[in-house]
Amino acid sequence: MFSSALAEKEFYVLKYILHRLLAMIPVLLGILLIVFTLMFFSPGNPARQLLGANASEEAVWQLEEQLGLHDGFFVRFFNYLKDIVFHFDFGTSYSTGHPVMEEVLARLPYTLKLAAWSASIAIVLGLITGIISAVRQYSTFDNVATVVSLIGVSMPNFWQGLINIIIFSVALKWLPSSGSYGPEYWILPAVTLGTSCAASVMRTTRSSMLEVIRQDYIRMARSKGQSEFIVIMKHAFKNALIPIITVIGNMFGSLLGGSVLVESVFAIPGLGKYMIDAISERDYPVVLGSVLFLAVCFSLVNLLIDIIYCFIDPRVIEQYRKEGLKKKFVAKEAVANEA
Amino acid sequence: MLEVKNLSINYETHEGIIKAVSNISFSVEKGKTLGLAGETGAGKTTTALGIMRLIPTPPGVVKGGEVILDGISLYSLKKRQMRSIRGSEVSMIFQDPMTSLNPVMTIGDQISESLRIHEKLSRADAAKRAKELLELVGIPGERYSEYPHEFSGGMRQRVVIAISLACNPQLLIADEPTTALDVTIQAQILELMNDLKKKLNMSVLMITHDLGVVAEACDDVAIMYAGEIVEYGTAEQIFNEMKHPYTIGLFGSIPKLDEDVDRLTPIKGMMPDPANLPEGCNFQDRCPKCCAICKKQKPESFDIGNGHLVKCHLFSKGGEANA
Amino acid sequence: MKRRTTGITLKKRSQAGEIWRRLRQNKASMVGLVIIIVVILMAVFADVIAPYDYSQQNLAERFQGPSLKHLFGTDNFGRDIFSRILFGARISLKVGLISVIVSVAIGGTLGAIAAFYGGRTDNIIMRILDVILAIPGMLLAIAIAATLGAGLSNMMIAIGIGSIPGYARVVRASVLTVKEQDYIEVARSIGASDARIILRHIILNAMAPILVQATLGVAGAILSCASLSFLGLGIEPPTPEWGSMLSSTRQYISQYWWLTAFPGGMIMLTVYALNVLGDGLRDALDPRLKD
Repeated sequence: MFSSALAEKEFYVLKYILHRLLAMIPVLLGILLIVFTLMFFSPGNPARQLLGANASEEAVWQLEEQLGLHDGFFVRFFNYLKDIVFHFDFGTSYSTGHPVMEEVLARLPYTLKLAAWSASIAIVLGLITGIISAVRQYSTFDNVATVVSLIGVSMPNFWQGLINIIIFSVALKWLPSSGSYGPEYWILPAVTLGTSCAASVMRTTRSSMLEVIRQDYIRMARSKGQSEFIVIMKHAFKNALIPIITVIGNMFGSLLGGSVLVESVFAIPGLGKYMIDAISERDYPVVLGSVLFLAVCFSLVNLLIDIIYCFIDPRVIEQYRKEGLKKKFVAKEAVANEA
Repeated sequence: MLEVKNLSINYETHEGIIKAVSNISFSVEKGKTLGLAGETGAGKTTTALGIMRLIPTPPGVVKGGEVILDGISLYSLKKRQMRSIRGSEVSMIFQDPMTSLNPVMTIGDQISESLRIHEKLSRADAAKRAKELLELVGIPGERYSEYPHEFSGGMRQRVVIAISLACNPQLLIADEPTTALDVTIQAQILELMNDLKKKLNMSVLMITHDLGVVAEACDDVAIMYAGEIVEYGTAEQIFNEMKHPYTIGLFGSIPKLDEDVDRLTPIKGMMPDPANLPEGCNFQDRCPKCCAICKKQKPESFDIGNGHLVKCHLFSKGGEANA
Repeated sequence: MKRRTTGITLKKRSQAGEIWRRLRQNKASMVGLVIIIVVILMAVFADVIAPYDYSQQNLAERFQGPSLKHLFGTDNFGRDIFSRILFGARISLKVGLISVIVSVAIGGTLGAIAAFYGGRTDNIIMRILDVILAIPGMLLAIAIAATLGAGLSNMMIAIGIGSIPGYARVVRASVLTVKEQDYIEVARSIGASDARIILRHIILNAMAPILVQATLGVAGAILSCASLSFLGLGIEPPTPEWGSMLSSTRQYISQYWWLTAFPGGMIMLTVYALNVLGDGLRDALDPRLKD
């Protein structure tokens, strides 16, 4: 049926990617349902918001009818879905009256920039310290790194941000504490968010590397006369990557959640801060629309990670071919217990 | 061409010092196979790793002795020099083919790796040579870009052999190469190794606990017990004129096809704890011929003729056997 | 570890005793345990220990630094920070403990049902939990807390829902292990008493990982609680929650360091203690997992 073994493998890779993509759809629907349910039960009356406090009961009722607020749960859900999927209409802000989508897109770049920088710091820091800790197990570096990462995990990231401001902005006057006008404005926020997420990456890297280094094929590589550096970085690291990448995927969740807090502390005009301001103004469409947006981003990241798996480990496609799309419950559990 | 002299290796853990290998000496001649036989835990793998200088050094310590490969004392080399010898002059096959190969690298790349390290071949040249090696061990060259999980145990061991032979080593150390394989595959692998050994005029250090393998493949034999070599000689000497009580017990515990036996006769007792070796001979608790001196003094290796060495008080100048 | 064996009789330690012994050897975990006990005592005896009422304002004594009169200083309303922290411990522990207990109860039940019935039930339950996992925990908590409004119980719900899938998976895994082991025995024997044996097996089996995850879970819940109140969700002033103490004094951080240091330090200390204790429990319960 296939021209060659290679063609067959490529076919299954494509099938795997497509399958994963399709599997994402019910999850997205679920997220939409949750967000919509919250929206449905949130206090606040869109009609009244639009017309103002002085409007008459009748006018409000009429507008409610118009907006379809008297329809049943499922009818409204269906309309909600329609709006989102076909018109990208995430609702309208109670405060400004503008479409949520518009406001979200205006602020998204800031959040993405913070996320990108923080993720880079977290990944690089986590990987490097994890690898060194594993290779030099029980050394001073390892012990110090373990303690530091434990402290990092325990420190609330917003508090870390405040402390950083006290030290670096107020006391030392090295860096600015708020705003986003230039590269130096991003250092503190990115470092704050990045270091708080680095700990889980470091711990998983360390334990995964320790596990892999014990394996026979590492000894085999050494017995070929390969340099220790390549043994660690090429042979060991590549095999250790699978659980590490899973944790990095989860880390993005913490990152997106944490960005809300960090943006708040450092006054970065991103999606997180927008959400928080909207909370105090009871602007529910904005809050929920932002959450929805970020959740979708997170799902896309996880999809990406699922796809990356099959390029790192050839056994993934092999397993897919034989057993279909079985989620790695066991691996993810072990990881969830760790993180 | 390999000479091991008085090699001793310990593992220092917080639970105590484990004497894995104590003062062993043997040699492997060019083109010949030396079988290093003994029970699990006798120190065979440690010896092999010791020759390759692959003992993990946090717990492991090489206490003394020399390893001389083709005139070069391996322990006097710098790390970089040793690395250039590993894989090119001496290479090793490990026991379990299922775990000896890197799961995320193609088998072809794993073979080419040696070639690119030692012979500095380009990617393309290395790939070509790797394919030749695959054919040599009986695997179609096109399977170069396949991954280990696509091969069976026997095939994987062939790949491992191909890797170890890539740079034409002078010495091949095979640590129980057939233990993890089916009996029928075992025979194939041994035959393959024998063929290649003759073709490449290679020396082989065959580590095994299977006396059948020893009989099949080895020219010389060293019997190892609790970190020491208790008997050493050619295969004929060991099989036909075995002298050490342990060796006798070992052979006596194998069921024989041509004899009518009701029960197997194992050697009573267990190997002593290497962290807690007794004073005197290591075999004293299990030896049917144990006597007073055995409990106090460690025996030396006595030559009983033609290079047949036995480490037992029975064969000392004043010992029973010579009485 | 030397085992003393006198003759043939070996003293068999109970499993719990063995676990406790291993835990005791872990110095860091012991420190964590001590810290947690101290925090619990602080919370329980807050009325007695606190020198001042937590909402007692004294505008004449605003912004005083740490002193003998005010151990941790005073805030922008002249309230004694030490007293506020003591009462804050109550809130954090309450929210942490209750939200985890509820999550474990709901999640554990779901996981057990999923594993026990298997097949479609398993599939459906796990898919639903996947959806919850697909929303980053903090964001879900914010969304729920915002919708439900202010109040401690709303915050507990908001935090608790996000951790349900985690506990469900743990219990599911445990039940599956037992299910595979005892399956044959179940097939052979009949009777209600066996069901009880299996149930006991399952609970014993699942107890260990749940305990570890719950300890770490309380740590996470306390962090989430602090984060939510920092953002202004769930806590009404003058409730002295540690996180809200940080947000209400935001504008003064450059001038009066104690306003930030002590509340945040308490959060970190408590969470650190729980994390280290949880890690130690994990190692003590299954030493094989350690390196």
